[in-house]
Parts: sequence; C-alpha cells; structure tokens
Amino acid sequence: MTNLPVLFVALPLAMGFLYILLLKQRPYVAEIVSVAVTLVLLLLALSLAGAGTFQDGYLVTSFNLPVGGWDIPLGINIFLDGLTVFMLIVVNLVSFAVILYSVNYLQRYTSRTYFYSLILFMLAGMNGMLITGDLFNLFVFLELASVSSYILVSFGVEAEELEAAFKYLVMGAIASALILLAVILVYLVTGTLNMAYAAQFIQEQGMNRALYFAFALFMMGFSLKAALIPFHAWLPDAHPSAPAPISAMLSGVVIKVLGVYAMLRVGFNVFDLGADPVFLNLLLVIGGISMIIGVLLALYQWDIKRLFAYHSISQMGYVIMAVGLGTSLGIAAGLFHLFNHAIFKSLLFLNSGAIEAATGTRSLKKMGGLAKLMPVTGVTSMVGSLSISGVPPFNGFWSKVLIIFAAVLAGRPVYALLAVIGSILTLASFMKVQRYAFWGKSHLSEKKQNSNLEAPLFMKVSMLFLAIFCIFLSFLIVPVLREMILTPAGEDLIRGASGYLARVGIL
Amino acid sequence: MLNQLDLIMPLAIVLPLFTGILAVIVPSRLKVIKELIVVVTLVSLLIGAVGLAIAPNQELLWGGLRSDGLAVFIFFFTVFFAAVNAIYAFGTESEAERSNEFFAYFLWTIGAAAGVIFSTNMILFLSFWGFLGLTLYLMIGLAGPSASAAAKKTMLITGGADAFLILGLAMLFLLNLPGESVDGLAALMSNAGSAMDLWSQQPVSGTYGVLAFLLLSLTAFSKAGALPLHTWVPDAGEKAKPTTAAFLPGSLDKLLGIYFLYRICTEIFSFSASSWAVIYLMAIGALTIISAVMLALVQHNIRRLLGYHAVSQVGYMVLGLATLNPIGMAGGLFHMLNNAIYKSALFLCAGNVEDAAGTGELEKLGGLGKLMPLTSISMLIAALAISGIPPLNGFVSKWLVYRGLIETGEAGGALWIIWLLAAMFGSALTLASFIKVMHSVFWSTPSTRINLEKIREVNYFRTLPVLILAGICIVFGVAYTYPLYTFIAPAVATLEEFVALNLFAAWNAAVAAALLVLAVVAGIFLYWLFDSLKDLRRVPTWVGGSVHDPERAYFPGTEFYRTIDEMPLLNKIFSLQKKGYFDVYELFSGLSLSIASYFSNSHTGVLTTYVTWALVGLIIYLFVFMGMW
Repeated sequence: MTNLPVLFVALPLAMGFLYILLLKQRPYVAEIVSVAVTLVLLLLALSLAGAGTFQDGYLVTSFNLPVGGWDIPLGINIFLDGLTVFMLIVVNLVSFAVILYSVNYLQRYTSRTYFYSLILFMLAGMNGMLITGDLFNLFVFLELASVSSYILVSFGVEAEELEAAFKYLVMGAIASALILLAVILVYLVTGTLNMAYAAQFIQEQGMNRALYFAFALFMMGFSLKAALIPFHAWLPDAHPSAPAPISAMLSGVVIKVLGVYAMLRVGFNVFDLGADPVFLNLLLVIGGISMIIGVLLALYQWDIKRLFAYHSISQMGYVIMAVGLGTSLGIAAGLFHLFNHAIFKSLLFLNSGAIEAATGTRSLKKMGGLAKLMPVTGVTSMVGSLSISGVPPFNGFWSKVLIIFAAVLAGRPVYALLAVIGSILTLASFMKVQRYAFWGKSHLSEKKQNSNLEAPLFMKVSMLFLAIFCIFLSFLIVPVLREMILTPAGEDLIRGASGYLARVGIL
Repeated sequence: MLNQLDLIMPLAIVLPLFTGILAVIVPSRLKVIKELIVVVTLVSLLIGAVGLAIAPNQELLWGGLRSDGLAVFIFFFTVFFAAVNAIYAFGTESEAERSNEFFAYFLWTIGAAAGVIFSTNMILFLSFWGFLGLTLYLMIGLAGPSASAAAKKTMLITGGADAFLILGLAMLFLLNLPGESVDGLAALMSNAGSAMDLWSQQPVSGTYGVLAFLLLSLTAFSKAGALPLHTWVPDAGEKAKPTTAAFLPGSLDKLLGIYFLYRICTEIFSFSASSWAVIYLMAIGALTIISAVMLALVQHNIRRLLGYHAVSQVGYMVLGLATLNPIGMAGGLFHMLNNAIYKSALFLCAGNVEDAAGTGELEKLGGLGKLMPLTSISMLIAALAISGIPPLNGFVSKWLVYRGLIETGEAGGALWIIWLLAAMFGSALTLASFIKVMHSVFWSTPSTRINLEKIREVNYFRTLPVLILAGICIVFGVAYTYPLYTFIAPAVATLEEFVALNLFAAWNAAVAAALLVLAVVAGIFLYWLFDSLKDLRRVPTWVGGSVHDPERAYFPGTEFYRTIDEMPLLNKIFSLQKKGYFDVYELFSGLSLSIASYFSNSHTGVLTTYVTWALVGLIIYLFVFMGMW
C-alpha cells in the first residue's frame, strides 16, 4: 500500500510512452487502456481518502515516501496530506469522465493515439505536482502538464487553434520562466529544494527580501496558470479552441492544479503566509476582480465555449476570494467550490462538445430547441447550468451559500456582496445559454431538426456521470464525508508551515 | 406528547418530492397512473394538514421544522389550490406532450412549498425557497419556445433575489451570534439549532439589522410580486400555460411571499408601529397598488392584464401586514387568501377563453358570453370579487385592510390617509379594468375576427375548478366569519381576542347581500321591461348607401380605454415603461451589458497587449510583496 501513490505518476507516464511506441496504428487499444488507467487512479484516490486516521474530528492523511531510497533532503519525496488527497480525487474523477467521453468524441480526429498519450502526460504532470514534496520537481511536473496542454490546444491544427496555442505557449512560458527563477531564488537563499526543509528554514530564519521577491514571482506564475485577471488573457482563446474533452480538462482541473493548488501550497505551507494580511488581502482583491470582470465578460459572449471559458476565470475568482478570507470556513468553502467547479465546468464543456458535434456551430444564435433534439445533453447541461448558478439542490448552491456566509462572518460584507452580484450575473448568462441553445426557437436547418442529434453512448454516459456528481457533491458538507475529504484539505492549509512539517515528520 | 404529529411535517415535504420522481419515471401513456399519483399525494397531504390542525397554536419541533396556526393555514391552502389546479390539469396537461415533467414539477413545487412553510432553520429555508424558484422556472418553460424569454426573466429575478436572501440570512446569522465566532464548517453546521434559527426577533436597527431586513423583504416582494421586483409576474402570466399561471404567480407564490413577509414582520424581526420599516412597507404597498393597476388598464392581452392585477393586489396585502394591528394583519392575510382564490379563477377562465377562441388578445375576442356561460359567470363573480364589490370576499378583506389603516391613524400615524386613498383609488381602477375585460370578451357584439361558430364551452375538468373557486368567492364573502375565525384568527391572535375586535361593527353581510340581490333582480326586470316595451330593430350599419364593412363597424372594448393611454402625462410614463425604464431586470441587464461591452472590446486578441497586462500584474505583485518587508 505504501508505495502505491507512485502509480499516480508512473502509470500514466509509462502508458503515454508505450502508446507512441506500440499503438500508433491501434488507437482503439489506447482508448480502452486509458479508460482503465484513469479508472484505477480514481479508485486509488478514493481509497486514499479513507486510509488516514481520525484525529481532532477529521481524517488525517500523511504519506511520506522517499523516492529511490534516498531520504530527504538528499532525494525527492512523495508526500500526501489531506489537501493532496482531495485534489487527487478531483483530478482523477474529471480525467476519468473526460477520457470516457473522448472514446466517442475523438472519432472525428486523426492520430488519436497521440491524443491519448498527451492527455496521460498532462494527467501525470498534474498528479505529479500534487504528490511531490519538492519545489523543483513541482516545476518539472508543471512544465510537463503545461507543454502537453499547449499541444493539445492545437490538436485540431486549424488556424484558430494554432493561434490560440501560440498565445497560450508564449504566456505560459513567461509564467514558467518566472516560476523557475523563483525556485532558483529559494534554493539560493535556503539551500534546499525540498518544500518541507525550505519551510523549516523560513520558519526559523524568517522571510527576507529575496524570499519575498521569489514569492512575488511564484504568485505571478501561478496566477497566470490560474488565469486570474489581469493574467487571464490567454484563457478565453485557448480553452474554447481545444477539442471539447481538453477544454473540460483545462477548465476543470488544469487551472486548479497548476494555478490554485500550487499557489496555496507554496503560499500557505512553504512561505507560511496563511495569516499574513497583505497576502490574504491580495487574494481577496484579485479574486474579487476576477470574479466580477470574468462574469461580465462571459455575459457578453455568444460563442458557447468562450462563454464557459470566461466563467472559469470568474469561478477561480470565487475560490481565491474565499481562501483569501483566511478563516477556516472561508478556506473550506473555497476548496468545496473548487471541487464543485471542476465537476460542473467539465460537464458544461462536454455538453458544448456534444452540441458542436451535432450542430456544427458554437454560436448560440444559430442553435435553439436542442432540449427536444438531444434530451440527455439538454438535461445534463441544465444540471450543469443550475449548479454553476448556485440553484438548490445542486452542489454549486452549497458552496455559494458557504462563501457568502464565510465572507459575512469574516467581517467582509463587501466581498459577500460581490459574490452575490457575481452569482446573479452567472445565473443571467446561463439562463441565456439555456434559452438560446435549448429552449428557444430553433435556428437549425430543416434536415437537422428532423434528425437524431443526441450524442453517442459513451458521451452520454460520461455527461450523466458528471451530472450525478453535481447532485451527489452536495453531500460533501454532511459530517462523515466532510471529515473524510473536505475538512482535512482545509485544515492542512490553515495549519501552515508548522502543520506541514509535522505531517512530513521533521520538526 | 403528540410525537406522531411531528412526523407530519417532514413527510409533507418528502412525500411530494418523492412522488414527483415517480411521476417522471411512469411512462407517458399511463395517464391514469400519473393522475392517481397526484390524487394520492394530495389526499395524504390534506389528511396531514388536518392532523397538524388538531394541535393549533402548538409548536411542534422537529429539527428545523416548526408549525403554528399560520403555518397550518398556509399549508392547508397550498394543498387546496394544488388540488383545484390538479383537476384543471387533468383536463389539459394529462394529454400534453410533456405531462410527465408537468406533474413532476407540480409535485416538487408542493413539497418545496411545505418546506418553506415549516422550516425555521436558515439553511433549510434557503434551499427550499431556491428550489421553489427552480420549479417555477421549469414550469413556465413547459409552455415552449414562446415562453423561454419569460422563463429566463422569472428565474433571473427570483434567483437573483435568492442570492440576496443568502446575504441577508448571513447577516441575520451574524446578529444571532452574540460575541461568538464561528470557526470552520463543522461549527457552522452545528449551530443549526441556535444561531441558524430564523425566528430570532431581531430589531431593525444597526447596519446589519437594517440591511438584513431590506434584503429579506425584497425577497418576499420578488416572490409575491410587489414593486420593484414584480416585472416577471405579467410576463409569466401571459406566456406560461394557464395552469402554471393560476397555480404559481396566481396563487401559491402569493401565499408563500406574503407568508414570508408576515414572518419577517413578526417572528424574524421585531419592530414597533412607529418604526421606519412600517413607512417603507406602506409606501411599497401603496405604490404597488396604483402603478400596477394603471398598467393593467392599458393592457391588450387578457392574461397579461391579469398579471398586472396579480401585482396590484399584493399591495393590499403588504398594506394590511404593515399596519401591525390585528385587524389590518387579519385583513392582509385574508386578502392574500381571497386574492389567490379569485386570481386563480381568473387565470383559469382566461385559459378557457384562450383555449376555446385560440387567442387571448382582447381586440379579437367578443361576444363569448352566451357561448361559454359557465366560464363567463365564474369570471364575472371573480372579477367583481377582485374589484371589492360587496358581498364578495374581496370586499371583506379590503374592508379589513382599510379599517386597519384607519386604526394606525387613531394610534398616531400620520401618513395613513395617503395609503388609504391609494388603496381605495386602486380598487376603483380595478373595477374599471375588469369592466373592460368582461365587456371585451363576453358582452360586446360578437367578434368578426375569430370564428365564433366553433366556440363551445370547455369540458368539465376545466369548468369545475373555476365554478368551485367562484363559489368560494361568494361563500367567503357572505359567511366571512367562518374563514376568518377558522383560518385567520389562529394565525394572528387567539379566537377570543379576535372576536372581541368587533371586525364588522355596522356591517351585516346577509342584509347587504339580500339588498344587492334585490337590486340586481330589479335591474334585470327593468332591462327586460324596457327591452320589450320599445320596438327595437337590429340592422347592419349603413354608410353612403352601402353596408359598412363589419370589420370597421366592430368596436372592441379596448378602444374605450385608449383615452387613458393618451392622457398628457401618462402617455410619457407608459412609453418609458414600455421601453423598460421601470423594470429592474431591464435596467440591470442594460447596465451590465454596457460595462461588459467595454471590457469585451479591450480583449482584442493581440498577444503583446495581453503580455503587457500580465507584466503590469507582475509589477503590482512586486510592489505589494516587496513593500511587505
């Protein structure tokens, strides 16, 4: 059992290479294997959620494995705590649904084997970022995930995709370079690349000017990966241009792991700024701005995928703002919203893929009446829209309530008001989607209106799977599940560097 | 004691939610099974309501659920209106294409309504309230593509109000926590019993007290349809199916919105009659009455017109509640009940007319009175009731509201005369607009714009509900002590206190009714007398020796009301209103779209610009963090 977390990286990475070597002519094998791999990883992640021990009323997870037998700080360690397990569940759950969906969706593309090997590289990169306890290793996995995502955005190799991928590449490379520079600075000052030892150094010696400089660079890099305003501009081009399953991965999990997770891990656990008013205020301000401007931009769109993409900016704003409240409740609400957003946003992008495949358009003005023609897509997209708009009984409602309560209780009513306004605007733009795509008068051709436009089997199964999770995740706030999944993640953040050191086992 | 009764409340919520799921699963062609599910659910709920009523004024605690006289009263009538509308739906929706969805939403609405009525826990209340908005949206959407805009608008207004409700409740929660802090999710959830309690009687002072009161009352207004969040009601009334319009904006949303407002004024907050909150509520009430009835006067679609009246009548309820004295509050609650009765009757009658004639435009209708006698009689009774003509129920409750207002004057209020005048003026205008409806649809010369030959009275499933409702309008008007003492008295005071108020000092309904009937009979007799004495002859109109084109000789009732539309000042207001200047929804969407277009235009797709933004962000970060040290 103790060595199993290695599989989160090893399995997808190995498969990705094997596909290219062996399966270029047999993409169908790659499909089956990929579905199996992600299912195994999902089950593994879920089993980890129950593998800790109960302390202080919640489940404490802490695995610390030195890789290759070299103990830290000489070697690299694989480290899992509540936050890691929480994120692993999010990532592997969405990946499983997305790859299941791709089985049908990818039929219209060539070189499908490359697709599966790239998406597994991306998954390996994200899982690696989550389980590593080493700063440079974090950067390497971040680059692995980023580079695979640049290529996947351009997978359609049309002019639009290539342009979007180029912008994404340039901006992503700037962020990566700054993150690398920050890692170097941390090594220069603390003499270690291990997160725990760096955290110990910072705790003992305190912050200095060079470390603050490094942290500012980290923040910029991770903000760009998380697409917070004003670093967001690549996202509305890149996310819609990618094939629908990749859009779902990018908006669903990539921005969260590469951006939000890395930012919080480094900020709270390494630099121990969890109680620092400047850091928290910055999170509040940047989160609030992203939340409002992102949704306003979304409101103006008629391209369904672009609209969803702008909402990702806005929803990341919610998460960052809630965490920036700095209270235990705020952090729990933020992480809960992160999980919820991963589910409903990937569902919505999968819906948009089904619509695009059926109607051949992404413009809301050219759709209409789809609820009747594609019932499964219609119902699941309704579930997704209601979830993101925060309508009960779907998961988005509970995290919205918690965020607003957390903001008021933290003495920040203005941010609570911003969250309310943001949620109304979100509702407005999703009511627009529902009206123009599904309910309103049809603008499709006669032939299309009389044919069966519903998505094929695996796409339907995948969308239904995520839609069920939109309801099921509401139960994440009931005691047992909360103490197994949500509370440990929040607690591991709020305990800052000292909590992290205790988990790793050096004090 | 009475522990079994505690189970009624959770069952009343869960049962319809569950049978709603059954209604989705049952295959569409098994019409009888679906109807059976609805009937069984409603009958069990009715038994449950009676069971709860056995212990009146007793608080039955079960988690966050509580029931008292008022809750039982509202719940009973929720089930009652559901039953009346179910009968109508059996005649219309059972055959319809999406009947499964209709009955599922219908049952879910009832379950969520029971949740709203009995919940006193904030989180429970919020989720049921929000779910109710969702079923409303889905039910309006059932009418097809033409209703999609109305559904969107409704969802946005009610859903937007829900978001503000969360903010208001969060503030209320903070007020309920004296000096404690809530750390973490577990602590928040475990506060369910104490600080999460809605009925905390907070004062409406202090920043959070005032804001929470305003936000909660706005939510109640959005549901009931009072200014300024009323604009979804006319749209939904016109575009939704008649059953939906009668059930939700017509009756249930009024019950629940006013119920919530009543709780806000009594249990959730507590303020005296001299508080600013009273003036605020009264002003909203008076403004709602006048402005909505003015708009109703100039409408040309029958259900849109009814929708504006559904808004206007809410003003009386708000006025009644805001008096804070037992007479006025009893009047407000009674008016809420009466309005739900005649308003759903009116919506269903309008549905019958539309179904028979194929249109709801007043210009096209005419002369249907003899063709649809049952619908016509029911609509007449309901129209007289809404206009407050004695001895019908609308008169009784308006009378109580007036008396409540006068009493606030006796207690020292200054502005009561304004509110009273607004209420009475509104009543007169209501009558005027219903004369327009009755004339245009039923009494005028037979219309030449529709094919009258095919028009028949609709089937019994559709006439029975309106006849029942019209009958209740008469019964509650003549035997008003019965509903007042049975339903309303337990809600506002004890029965003894209530009887001692001497509600109708000089009013004797039986005598008044007898006199009125006598007057009507005399009138009919005189009409018949003159009609038979004079030698009348009906001929086509002639102009210049040729028969006038019948289309040009046809004067629909709406023409007589053109003067209102064209009055010097009013025409300006009406034209602004048509452009959406008084519609919160239009203003809000206009504002946000104009801001959005500014941001959107700055996203030109030029990479260098984007990189510049990111570098500016980096510089800001560097300033922030380097300044920390």
